[in-house]
Amino acid sequence: MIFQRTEPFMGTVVTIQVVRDGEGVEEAVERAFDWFQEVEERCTRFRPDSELVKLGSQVGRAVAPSPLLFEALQFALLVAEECGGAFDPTVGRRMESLGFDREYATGQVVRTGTDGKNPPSYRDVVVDPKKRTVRLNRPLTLDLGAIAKGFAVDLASRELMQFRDFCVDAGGDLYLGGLNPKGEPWAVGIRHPRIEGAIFDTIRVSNSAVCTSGDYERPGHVVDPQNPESKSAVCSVSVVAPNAMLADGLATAAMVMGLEKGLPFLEQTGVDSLMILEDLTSWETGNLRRGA
Amino acid sequence: MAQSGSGKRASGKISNNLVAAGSAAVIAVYGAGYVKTKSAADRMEQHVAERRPPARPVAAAGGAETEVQVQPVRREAPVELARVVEPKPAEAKSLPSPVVEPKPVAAPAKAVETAPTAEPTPTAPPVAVAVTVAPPPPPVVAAAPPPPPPPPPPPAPKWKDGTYTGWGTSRHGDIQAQVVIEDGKIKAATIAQCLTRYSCDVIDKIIPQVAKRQSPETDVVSGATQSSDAFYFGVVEALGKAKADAK
Repeated sequence: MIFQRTEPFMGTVVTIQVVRDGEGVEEAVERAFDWFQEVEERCTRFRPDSELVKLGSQVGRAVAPSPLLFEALQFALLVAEECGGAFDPTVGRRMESLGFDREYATGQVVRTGTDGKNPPSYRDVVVDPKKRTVRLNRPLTLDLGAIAKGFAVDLASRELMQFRDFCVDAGGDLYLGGLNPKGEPWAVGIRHPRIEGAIFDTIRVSNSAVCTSGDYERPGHVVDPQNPESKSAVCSVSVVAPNAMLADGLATAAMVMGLEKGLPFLEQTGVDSLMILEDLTSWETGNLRRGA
Repeated sequence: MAQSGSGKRASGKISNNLVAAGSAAVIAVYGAGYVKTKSAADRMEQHVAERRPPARPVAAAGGAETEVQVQPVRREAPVELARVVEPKPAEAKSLPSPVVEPKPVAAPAKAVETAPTAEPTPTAPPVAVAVTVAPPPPPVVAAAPPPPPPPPPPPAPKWKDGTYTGWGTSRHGDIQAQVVIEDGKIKAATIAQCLTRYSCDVIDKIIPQVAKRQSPETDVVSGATQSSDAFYFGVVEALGKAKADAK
Protein backbone atom coordinates (compact mmCIF):
# COMPACT_ATOMS: atom_id res chain seq x y z
CA MET A 1 0.00 0.00 0.00
CA ILE A 2 1.41 3.37 -1.00
CA PHE A 3 1.09 6.44 1.16
CA GLN A 4 1.01 9.60 -0.94
CA ARG A 5 0.44 13.24 -0.17
CA THR A 6 0.70 16.37 -2.30
CA GLU A 7 1.06 19.94 -1.13
CA PRO A 8 1.92 23.25 -2.77
CA PHE A 9 5.28 24.66 -1.74
CA MET A 10 7.99 26.85 -3.24
CA GLY A 11 6.02 27.77 -6.32
CA THR A 12 5.42 24.18 -7.31
CA VAL A 13 3.58 21.06 -6.26
CA VAL A 14 5.40 18.72 -3.94
CA THR A 15 4.42 15.06 -3.86
CA ILE A 16 5.77 12.55 -1.38
CA GLN A 17 5.25 8.84 -1.81
CA VAL A 18 6.21 6.17 0.68
CA VAL A 19 5.95 2.71 -0.82
CA ARG A 20 4.89 0.86 2.31
CA ASP A 21 2.32 2.58 4.42
CA GLY A 22 2.54 1.81 8.09
CA GLU A 23 3.38 2.97 11.56
CA GLY A 24 4.82 6.45 11.66
CA VAL A 25 4.61 7.15 7.93
CA GLU A 26 2.06 9.93 8.16
CA GLU A 27 4.00 11.66 10.92
CA ALA A 28 7.29 11.42 9.01
CA VAL A 29 5.66 12.83 5.87
CA GLU A 30 4.29 15.67 7.99
CA ARG A 31 7.80 16.44 9.16
CA ALA A 32 9.11 16.16 5.62
CA PHE A 33 6.64 18.78 4.39
CA ASP A 34 7.61 20.97 7.32
CA TRP A 35 11.11 21.16 5.88
CA PHE A 36 9.74 22.62 2.67
CA GLN A 37 7.95 25.28 4.68
CA GLU A 38 11.05 25.98 6.74
CA VAL A 39 13.35 26.29 3.72
CA GLU A 40 10.83 28.42 1.85
CA GLU A 41 10.36 30.79 4.77
CA ARG A 42 14.07 31.28 5.31
CA CYS A 43 15.46 31.22 1.79
CA THR A 44 12.93 33.03 -0.38
CA ARG A 45 13.88 36.44 -1.74
CA PHE A 46 10.24 37.23 -2.45
CA ARG A 47 9.20 37.98 1.10
CA PRO A 48 10.56 41.14 2.69
CA ASP A 49 10.57 39.44 6.08
CA SER A 50 12.45 36.32 5.02
CA GLU A 51 15.77 35.69 6.70
CA LEU A 52 17.53 35.83 3.32
CA VAL A 53 16.19 39.30 2.52
CA LYS A 54 16.98 40.55 6.01
CA LEU A 55 20.52 39.24 5.65
CA GLY A 56 20.85 41.15 2.38
CA SER A 57 20.31 44.41 4.26
CA GLN A 58 23.18 43.79 6.68
CA VAL A 59 26.15 45.09 4.74
CA GLY A 60 29.69 45.30 6.08
CA ARG A 61 29.33 43.34 9.26
CA ALA A 62 29.41 39.69 10.16
CA VAL A 63 26.04 38.25 11.12
CA ALA A 64 25.18 34.75 12.26
CA PRO A 65 22.20 33.42 10.33
CA SER A 66 20.25 30.29 11.19
CA PRO A 67 22.04 26.97 10.55
CA LEU A 68 19.76 26.38 7.57
CA LEU A 69 20.55 29.67 5.84
CA PHE A 70 24.23 29.46 6.71
CA GLU A 71 24.63 25.97 5.27
CA ALA A 72 22.65 26.83 2.14
CA LEU A 73 24.74 29.95 1.53
CA GLN A 74 28.02 28.21 2.24
CA PHE A 75 27.15 25.44 -0.20
CA ALA A 76 25.98 27.91 -2.83
CA LEU A 77 29.29 29.76 -2.61
CA LEU A 78 31.20 26.49 -2.92
CA VAL A 79 29.31 25.58 -6.10
CA ALA A 80 29.88 29.11 -7.39
CA GLU A 81 33.61 28.72 -6.78
CA GLU A 82 33.72 25.31 -8.46
CA CYS A 83 32.00 26.52 -11.63
CA GLY A 84 33.77 29.87 -11.81
CA GLY A 85 30.69 31.89 -11.03
CA ALA A 86 28.36 30.41 -13.66
CA PHE A 87 26.13 29.67 -10.73
CA ASP A 88 26.07 32.68 -8.42
CA PRO A 89 23.82 33.25 -5.41
CA THR A 90 24.11 37.02 -5.88
CA VAL A 91 22.22 37.18 -9.17
CA GLY A 92 19.07 38.44 -7.57
CA ARG A 93 19.28 41.99 -8.93
CA ARG A 94 19.62 40.81 -12.50
CA MET A 95 16.81 38.32 -12.04
CA GLU A 96 14.64 41.21 -10.93
CA SER A 97 15.63 43.30 -13.94
CA LEU A 98 14.54 40.44 -16.18
CA GLY A 99 11.14 40.38 -14.57
CA PHE A 100 11.56 37.63 -12.00
CA ASP A 101 10.33 39.86 -9.25
CA ARG A 102 7.00 38.48 -8.21
CA GLU A 103 6.17 36.42 -5.20
CA TYR A 104 4.36 33.51 -6.83
CA ALA A 105 1.79 33.12 -4.06
CA THR A 106 0.64 36.74 -3.86
CA GLY A 107 1.74 38.23 -7.18
CA GLN A 108 3.30 41.05 -5.19
CA VAL A 109 6.28 42.74 -6.86
CA VAL A 110 9.37 42.67 -4.70
CA ARG A 111 12.24 45.01 -5.55
CA THR A 112 15.52 45.42 -3.83
CA GLY A 113 17.70 48.47 -4.00
CA THR A 114 21.04 47.18 -5.21
CA ASP A 115 23.13 48.85 -7.88
CA GLY A 116 22.90 47.15 -11.27
CA LYS A 117 25.75 49.04 -12.98
CA ASN A 118 28.59 47.39 -11.16
CA PRO A 119 27.13 43.98 -10.41
CA PRO A 120 28.23 42.22 -7.25
CA SER A 121 29.34 38.62 -7.32
CA TYR A 122 29.59 35.67 -4.97
CA ARG A 123 33.05 36.91 -4.01
CA ASP A 124 31.37 39.77 -2.15
CA VAL A 125 29.88 37.27 0.26
CA VAL A 126 32.30 36.02 2.90
CA VAL A 127 31.46 33.12 5.20
CA ASP A 128 33.40 32.21 8.31
CA PRO A 129 32.94 28.45 8.81
CA LYS A 130 34.30 28.57 12.36
CA LYS A 131 32.21 31.41 13.67
CA ARG A 132 29.41 30.45 11.27
CA THR A 133 28.92 34.05 10.23
CA VAL A 134 28.25 35.72 6.89
CA ARG A 135 29.45 39.14 5.83
CA LEU A 136 28.33 41.02 2.74
CA ASN A 137 31.03 43.36 1.49
CA ARG A 138 28.58 45.48 -0.50
CA PRO A 139 24.86 45.78 -1.06
CA LEU A 140 23.60 42.87 -3.11
CA THR A 141 20.59 40.66 -3.62
CA LEU A 142 20.94 37.05 -2.56
CA ASP A 143 19.09 34.36 -4.48
CA LEU A 144 19.16 30.75 -3.39
CA GLY A 145 16.45 29.70 -5.82
CA ALA A 146 18.82 27.36 -7.66
CA ILE A 147 19.55 25.20 -4.64
CA ALA A 148 16.87 25.89 -2.03
CA LYS A 149 14.35 23.48 -3.50
CA GLY A 150 17.01 20.79 -3.73
CA PHE A 151 17.96 21.46 -0.12
CA ALA A 152 14.34 21.06 0.95
CA VAL A 153 14.12 17.79 -1.01
CA ASP A 154 17.25 16.52 0.78
CA LEU A 155 15.98 17.47 4.22
CA ALA A 156 12.57 15.96 3.53
CA SER A 157 14.25 12.79 2.26
CA ARG A 158 16.23 12.58 5.45
CA GLU A 159 12.98 12.27 7.39
CA LEU A 160 11.91 9.38 5.18
CA MET A 161 15.15 7.36 5.07
CA GLN A 162 13.76 5.00 7.71
CA PHE A 163 11.18 3.72 5.21
CA ARG A 164 13.85 3.03 2.55
CA ASP A 165 11.53 3.08 -0.50
CA PHE A 166 10.11 6.53 -1.12
CA CYS A 167 9.98 9.41 -3.59
CA VAL A 168 10.06 13.15 -3.00
CA ASP A 169 9.03 15.05 -6.12
CA ALA A 170 9.19 18.84 -6.02
CA GLY A 171 8.36 19.82 -9.56
CA GLY A 172 11.44 18.56 -11.36
CA ASP A 173 13.65 18.15 -8.31
CA LEU A 174 13.42 14.60 -7.08
CA TYR A 175 14.96 12.24 -4.61
CA LEU A 176 14.26 8.57 -5.15
CA GLY A 177 14.89 6.32 -2.18
CA GLY A 178 15.24 2.57 -2.67
CA LEU A 179 12.87 0.95 -5.14
CA ASN A 180 9.49 1.77 -6.64
CA PRO A 181 6.27 -0.14 -5.79
CA LYS A 182 7.18 -2.79 -8.35
CA GLY A 183 10.48 -3.45 -6.63
CA GLU A 184 12.49 -1.86 -9.44
CA PRO A 185 14.68 1.22 -9.55
CA TRP A 186 12.50 4.30 -9.96
CA ALA A 187 11.84 5.40 -13.55
CA VAL A 188 12.26 9.14 -14.07
CA GLY A 189 11.00 10.69 -17.26
CA ILE A 190 13.07 13.57 -18.62
CA ARG A 191 10.66 16.05 -20.08
CA HIS A 192 10.88 16.93 -23.74
CA PRO A 193 12.02 20.55 -23.83
CA ARG A 194 9.92 21.54 -26.79
CA ILE A 195 6.89 19.25 -26.90
CA GLU A 196 4.40 19.80 -24.11
CA GLY A 197 3.65 16.63 -22.20
CA ALA A 198 6.16 14.47 -24.08
CA ILE A 199 9.02 12.51 -22.49
CA PHE A 200 12.43 12.91 -24.09
CA ASP A 201 14.13 10.07 -22.24
CA THR A 202 13.60 7.82 -19.25
CA ILE A 203 16.29 6.97 -16.75
CA ARG A 204 16.35 4.57 -13.81
CA VAL A 205 17.72 5.63 -10.44
CA SER A 206 17.81 4.44 -6.86
CA ASN A 207 18.95 6.31 -3.75
CA SER A 208 19.79 9.35 -5.85
CA ALA A 209 18.51 12.80 -6.63
CA VAL A 210 17.54 13.91 -10.12
CA CYS A 211 17.21 17.60 -10.85
CA THR A 212 16.48 19.25 -14.15
CA SER A 213 17.14 22.85 -15.06
CA GLY A 214 15.39 23.92 -18.22
CA ASP A 215 14.17 26.96 -20.06
CA TYR A 216 10.66 25.60 -20.56
CA GLU A 217 8.99 26.23 -17.20
CA ARG A 218 9.92 29.91 -17.23
CA PRO A 219 11.75 30.68 -20.47
CA GLY A 220 14.96 32.55 -19.74
CA HIS A 221 14.89 31.88 -16.01
CA VAL A 222 18.46 30.64 -16.00
CA VAL A 223 20.63 33.74 -16.17
CA ASP A 224 24.36 33.82 -16.84
CA PRO A 225 25.58 36.12 -14.07
CA GLN A 226 28.64 37.09 -16.08
CA ASN A 227 26.75 37.89 -19.25
CA PRO A 228 23.15 38.76 -18.54
CA GLU A 229 22.28 39.18 -22.21
CA SER A 230 23.38 35.71 -23.23
CA LYS A 231 21.03 32.85 -23.82
CA SER A 232 22.57 29.44 -23.87
CA ALA A 233 21.66 27.08 -26.66
CA VAL A 234 21.01 24.44 -24.03
CA CYS A 235 17.32 23.68 -23.46
CA SER A 236 17.67 21.53 -20.40
CA VAL A 237 20.19 19.82 -18.16
CA SER A 238 19.33 16.89 -15.91
CA VAL A 239 21.79 15.81 -13.24
CA VAL A 240 21.81 12.65 -11.13
CA ALA A 241 23.70 13.13 -7.87
CA PRO A 242 23.79 11.78 -4.32
CA ASN A 243 21.85 14.78 -3.06
CA ALA A 244 19.36 17.14 -4.63
CA MET A 245 21.02 20.36 -3.55
CA LEU A 246 24.13 19.38 -5.52
CA ALA A 247 22.13 18.14 -8.51
CA ASP A 248 20.14 21.38 -8.48
CA GLY A 249 23.22 23.62 -8.33
CA LEU A 250 25.15 21.68 -10.98
CA ALA A 251 22.19 21.57 -13.38
CA THR A 252 21.73 25.33 -13.06
CA ALA A 253 25.45 26.01 -13.50
CA ALA A 254 25.73 23.76 -16.57
CA MET A 255 22.64 25.32 -18.06
CA VAL A 256 24.31 28.73 -17.81
CA MET A 257 27.69 27.48 -19.02
CA GLY A 258 26.31 25.91 -22.16
CA LEU A 259 27.58 22.90 -24.05
CA GLU A 260 31.20 23.96 -24.49
CA LYS A 261 31.93 24.68 -20.84
CA GLY A 262 29.07 22.99 -19.07
CA LEU A 263 29.58 19.48 -20.36
CA PRO A 264 33.29 19.32 -19.37
CA PHE A 265 32.30 20.79 -16.02
CA LEU A 266 29.72 18.06 -15.42
CA GLU A 267 32.24 15.50 -16.61
CA GLN A 268 34.75 16.77 -14.09
CA THR A 269 32.34 16.59 -11.20
CA GLY A 270 31.69 12.93 -12.05
CA VAL A 271 27.89 13.07 -11.98
CA ASP A 272 25.57 11.36 -14.45
CA SER A 273 23.88 13.97 -16.56
CA LEU A 274 21.90 14.59 -19.72
CA MET A 275 22.07 17.85 -21.65
CA ILE A 276 19.50 18.58 -24.35
CA LEU A 277 20.24 21.27 -26.93
CA GLU A 278 18.01 23.51 -28.99
CA ASP A 279 18.38 21.22 -32.01
CA LEU A 280 17.22 18.34 -29.76
CA THR A 281 20.57 16.58 -29.85
CA SER A 282 21.60 15.36 -26.44
CA TRP A 283 24.86 14.84 -24.61
CA GLU A 284 25.52 12.93 -21.47
CA THR A 285 28.17 12.32 -18.84
CA GLY A 286 28.70 9.44 -16.46
CA ASN A 287 26.66 6.31 -16.87
CA LEU A 288 22.96 6.97 -17.05
CA ARG A 289 20.83 3.88 -16.71
CA ARG A 290 17.89 3.83 -19.05
CA GLY A 291 14.60 2.01 -19.13
CA ALA A 292 10.97 2.94 -19.26
CA MET B 1 31.16 12.93 -22.03
CA ALA B 2 29.43 11.60 -25.06
CA GLN B 3 26.68 12.43 -27.39
CA SER B 4 23.78 10.28 -26.36
CA GLY B 5 23.64 7.01 -28.21
CA SER B 6 27.26 7.07 -29.33
CA GLY B 7 28.29 4.76 -26.51
CA LYS B 8 31.47 6.73 -25.98
CA ARG B 9 31.86 7.86 -22.44
CA ALA B 10 34.81 9.20 -20.63
CA SER B 11 35.24 8.29 -17.01
CA GLY B 12 34.51 11.12 -14.61
CA LYS B 13 36.11 12.10 -11.37
CA ILE B 14 33.69 12.30 -8.53
CA SER B 15 33.87 15.68 -6.95
CA ASN B 16 34.03 14.45 -3.40
CA ASN B 17 34.32 17.99 -2.26
CA LEU B 18 30.88 18.99 -3.48
CA VAL B 19 29.19 15.72 -2.65
CA ALA B 20 30.61 15.73 0.87
CA ALA B 21 29.76 19.40 1.35
CA GLY B 22 26.18 18.84 0.25
CA SER B 23 25.74 15.85 2.54
CA ALA B 24 27.39 17.68 5.43
CA ALA B 25 25.05 20.63 4.96
CA VAL B 26 21.99 18.39 5.03
CA ILE B 27 23.20 16.53 8.10
CA ALA B 28 24.11 19.74 9.91
CA VAL B 29 20.76 21.36 9.24
CA TYR B 30 18.80 18.19 9.85
CA GLY B 31 20.58 17.74 13.17
CA ALA B 32 20.16 21.34 14.22
CA GLY B 33 16.65 21.49 12.85
CA TYR B 34 15.38 18.33 14.40
CA VAL B 35 13.94 20.46 17.15
CA LYS B 36 11.94 22.19 14.47
CA THR B 37 10.47 19.06 12.98
CA LYS B 38 10.12 17.51 16.39
CA SER B 39 7.81 20.36 17.24
CA ALA B 40 5.80 19.40 14.17
CA ALA B 41 5.68 15.85 15.41
CA ASP B 42 4.68 17.02 18.87
CA ARG B 43 1.99 19.18 17.35
CA MET B 44 0.56 16.12 15.66
CA GLU B 45 0.69 14.15 18.90
CA GLN B 46 -1.03 17.02 20.65
CA HIS B 47 -3.75 16.93 18.03
CA VAL B 48 -4.24 13.27 18.66
CA ALA B 49 -4.11 13.71 22.43
CA GLU B 50 -6.70 16.45 22.25
CA ARG B 51 -9.09 13.94 20.80
CA ARG B 52 -10.98 12.46 23.64
CA PRO B 53 -10.72 8.77 24.33
CA PRO B 54 -13.81 6.93 23.20
CA ALA B 55 -16.36 7.53 25.91
CA ARG B 56 -19.51 5.97 24.63
CA PRO B 57 -22.52 5.62 26.86
CA VAL B 58 -22.45 2.22 28.49
CA ALA B 59 -26.07 1.52 27.74
CA ALA B 60 -25.58 2.16 24.08
CA ALA B 61 -22.29 0.43 23.79
CA GLY B 62 -23.54 -3.06 24.47
CA GLY B 63 -20.75 -5.24 25.69
CA ALA B 64 -17.75 -5.92 23.56
CA GLU B 65 -17.33 -2.42 22.23
CA THR B 66 -17.42 -0.85 25.63
CA GLU B 67 -14.28 0.90 26.67
CA VAL B 68 -14.93 2.85 29.75
CA GLN B 69 -12.24 4.13 31.94
CA VAL B 70 -13.33 4.19 35.46
CA GLN B 71 -12.40 6.56 38.09
CA PRO B 72 -11.89 4.82 41.41
CA VAL B 73 -14.59 5.59 43.85
CA ARG B 74 -14.19 5.34 47.57
CA ARG B 75 -17.17 5.89 49.66
CA GLU B 76 -17.99 5.48 53.25
CA ALA B 77 -21.43 4.21 52.48
CA PRO B 78 -22.08 0.65 53.57
CA VAL B 79 -23.03 -0.54 50.14
CA GLU B 80 -22.26 1.09 46.88
CA LEU B 81 -23.48 -0.77 43.90
CA ALA B 82 -21.75 -0.81 40.61
CA ARG B 83 -21.02 2.67 39.59
CA VAL B 84 -19.58 3.68 36.30
CA VAL B 85 -18.02 7.03 36.12
CA GLU B 86 -17.49 8.69 32.83
CA PRO B 87 -13.93 9.83 32.38
CA LYS B 88 -12.99 13.41 32.08
CA PRO B 89 -10.74 14.14 29.14
CA ALA B 90 -8.11 15.89 31.14
CA GLU B 91 -7.80 13.01 33.52
CA ALA B 92 -7.84 10.28 30.97
CA LYS B 93 -4.10 9.94 30.65
CA SER B 94 -3.18 9.82 34.27
CA LEU B 95 -5.87 7.66 35.67
CA PRO B 96 -4.68 4.89 37.93
CA SER B 97 -5.88 1.42 37.23
CA PRO B 98 -9.45 1.08 38.25
CA VAL B 99 -8.89 -1.18 41.16
CA VAL B 100 -10.66 -0.32 44.30
CA GLU B 101 -9.98 -2.04 47.53
CA PRO B 102 -12.91 -2.52 49.78
CA LYS B 103 -12.49 -0.28 52.68
CA PRO B 104 -13.70 -1.42 56.05
CA VAL B 105 -16.34 0.83 57.33
CA ALA B 106 -18.32 0.87 60.43
CA ALA B 107 -21.20 -1.49 60.15
CA PRO B 108 -24.44 0.28 59.93
CA ALA B 109 -27.10 -0.35 62.42
CA LYS B 110 -29.26 -2.03 59.84
CA ALA B 111 -26.91 -3.77 57.51
CA VAL B 112 -28.50 -5.85 54.90
CA GLU B 113 -27.55 -9.47 54.43
CA THR B 114 -26.92 -9.07 50.75
CA ALA B 115 -24.37 -6.40 51.18
CA PRO B 116 -21.22 -8.53 51.04
CA THR B 117 -22.25 -10.18 47.82
CA ALA B 118 -23.21 -7.04 46.02
CA GLU B 119 -22.11 -7.32 42.43
CA PRO B 120 -22.85 -5.62 39.19
CA THR B 121 -26.05 -6.85 37.70
CA PRO B 122 -25.53 -9.65 35.18
CA THR B 123 -26.96 -7.55 32.45
CA ALA B 124 -24.34 -4.90 32.88
CA PRO B 125 -21.76 -4.86 30.10
CA PRO B 126 -18.34 -6.22 30.98
CA VAL B 127 -16.80 -2.98 31.86
CA ALA B 128 -14.36 -2.13 34.51
CA VAL B 129 -16.40 -1.26 37.50
CA ALA B 130 -15.63 0.46 40.70
CA VAL B 131 -17.30 -1.24 43.54
CA THR B 132 -17.03 -0.47 47.13
CA VAL B 133 -18.40 -3.13 49.34
CA ALA B 134 -18.73 -3.36 53.01
CA PRO B 135 -16.92 -6.13 54.85
CA PRO B 136 -19.01 -8.93 56.32
CA PRO B 137 -21.06 -7.31 58.98
CA PRO B 138 -21.41 -8.84 62.36
CA PRO B 139 -24.26 -11.30 62.49
CA VAL B 140 -27.46 -9.55 63.01
CA VAL B 141 -31.00 -10.54 62.75
CA ALA B 142 -32.06 -10.50 59.20
CA ALA B 143 -34.25 -7.61 58.42
CA ALA B 144 -36.45 -6.97 55.49
CA PRO B 145 -35.15 -7.73 52.00
CA PRO B 146 -33.04 -5.00 50.57
CA PRO B 147 -34.99 -2.15 49.17
CA PRO B 148 -34.51 -1.74 45.45
CA PRO B 149 -32.28 1.17 44.61
CA PRO B 150 -34.33 4.19 43.77
CA PRO B 151 -34.71 4.64 40.04
CA PRO B 152 -32.44 7.39 38.82
CA PRO B 153 -34.26 10.49 37.77
CA PRO B 154 -34.58 10.77 34.00
CA PRO B 155 -31.54 12.65 32.80
CA ALA B 156 -32.15 16.08 31.47
CA PRO B 157 -31.43 16.33 27.76
CA LYS B 158 -27.75 17.12 27.20
CA TRP B 159 -28.47 19.20 24.17
CA LYS B 160 -31.22 21.63 23.34
CA ASP B 161 -33.08 21.03 20.11
CA GLY B 162 -31.97 23.17 17.25
CA THR B 163 -29.31 23.52 14.58
CA TYR B 164 -25.83 24.43 15.70
CA THR B 165 -22.58 25.08 13.90
CA GLY B 166 -18.96 25.06 14.98
CA TRP B 167 -15.58 25.60 13.40
CA GLY B 168 -12.70 23.17 13.54
CA THR B 169 -9.25 24.15 12.37
CA SER B 170 -6.31 22.26 10.98
CA ARG B 171 -3.13 23.18 9.23
CA HIS B 172 -4.79 22.28 5.96
CA GLY B 173 -7.72 24.61 6.51
CA ASP B 174 -10.95 24.88 8.43
CA ILE B 175 -14.20 22.96 8.47
CA GLN B 176 -17.54 24.24 9.71
CA ALA B 177 -19.62 21.40 11.08
CA GLN B 178 -23.39 21.61 11.50
CA VAL B 179 -25.25 19.49 14.00
CA VAL B 180 -29.04 19.12 14.22
CA ILE B 181 -30.45 18.21 17.63
CA GLU B 182 -33.95 16.73 17.85
CA ASP B 183 -35.56 15.36 21.00
CA GLY B 184 -32.29 15.97 22.79
CA LYS B 185 -30.37 13.72 20.45
CA ILE B 186 -28.08 14.25 17.50
CA LYS B 187 -30.33 13.85 14.51
CA ALA B 188 -27.70 14.57 11.90
CA ALA B 189 -24.28 16.10 11.37
CA THR B 190 -23.02 17.64 8.16
CA ILE B 191 -20.20 19.76 6.85
CA ALA B 192 -21.55 23.27 6.35
CA GLN B 193 -18.36 24.74 4.91
CA CYS B 194 -15.23 23.01 3.73
CA LEU B 195 -12.26 25.37 3.57
CA THR B 196 -9.55 22.75 3.66
CA ARG B 197 -6.91 22.50 1.01
CA TYR B 198 -8.30 19.13 -0.01
CA SER B 199 -11.84 18.11 -0.78
CA CYS B 200 -13.86 17.13 2.27
CA ASP B 201 -15.07 14.08 0.35
CA VAL B 202 -12.21 12.17 1.93
CA ILE B 203 -13.96 12.21 5.30
CA ASP B 204 -17.48 11.54 3.98
CA LYS B 205 -17.73 8.17 5.61
CA ILE B 206 -17.10 9.38 9.14
CA ILE B 207 -19.77 12.10 9.08
CA PRO B 208 -22.75 9.78 9.78
CA GLN B 209 -20.88 8.32 12.74
CA VAL B 210 -21.67 11.42 14.77
CA ALA B 211 -25.42 10.70 14.77
CA LYS B 212 -24.91 6.97 14.99
CA ARG B 213 -22.66 7.24 18.02
CA GLN B 214 -24.33 10.34 19.47
CA SER B 215 -20.85 11.68 19.92
CA PRO B 216 -18.17 13.63 18.08
CA GLU B 217 -15.96 10.57 18.45
CA THR B 218 -15.65 9.48 14.87
CA ASP B 219 -13.02 7.31 13.35
CA VAL B 220 -9.97 8.96 11.84
CA VAL B 221 -9.56 8.62 8.09
CA SER B 222 -6.07 7.40 7.32
CA GLY B 223 -4.28 9.97 5.27
CA ALA B 224 -6.81 12.63 6.23
CA THR B 225 -6.04 13.02 9.91
CA GLN B 226 -6.09 16.77 9.72
CA SER B 227 -9.49 16.95 8.05
CA SER B 228 -10.88 14.32 10.43
CA ASP B 229 -9.68 16.36 13.38
CA ALA B 230 -11.00 19.63 11.96
CA PHE B 231 -14.42 18.02 11.57
CA TYR B 232 -14.21 16.60 15.09
CA PHE B 233 -13.40 19.97 16.63
CA GLY B 234 -16.20 21.57 14.62
CA VAL B 235 -18.71 19.04 15.98
CA VAL B 236 -17.37 19.53 19.51
CA GLU B 237 -17.91 23.27 19.25
CA ALA B 238 -21.41 22.86 17.84
CA LEU B 239 -22.37 20.41 20.58
CA GLY B 240 -20.90 22.80 23.13
CA LYS B 241 -23.36 25.44 21.98
CA ALA B 242 -26.23 22.97 22.15
CA LYS B 243 -25.19 22.01 25.66
CA ALA B 244 -24.91 25.61 26.78
CA ASP B 245 -28.42 26.29 25.48
CA ALA B 246 -29.77 23.30 27.39
CA LYS B 247 -28.74 24.79 30.72
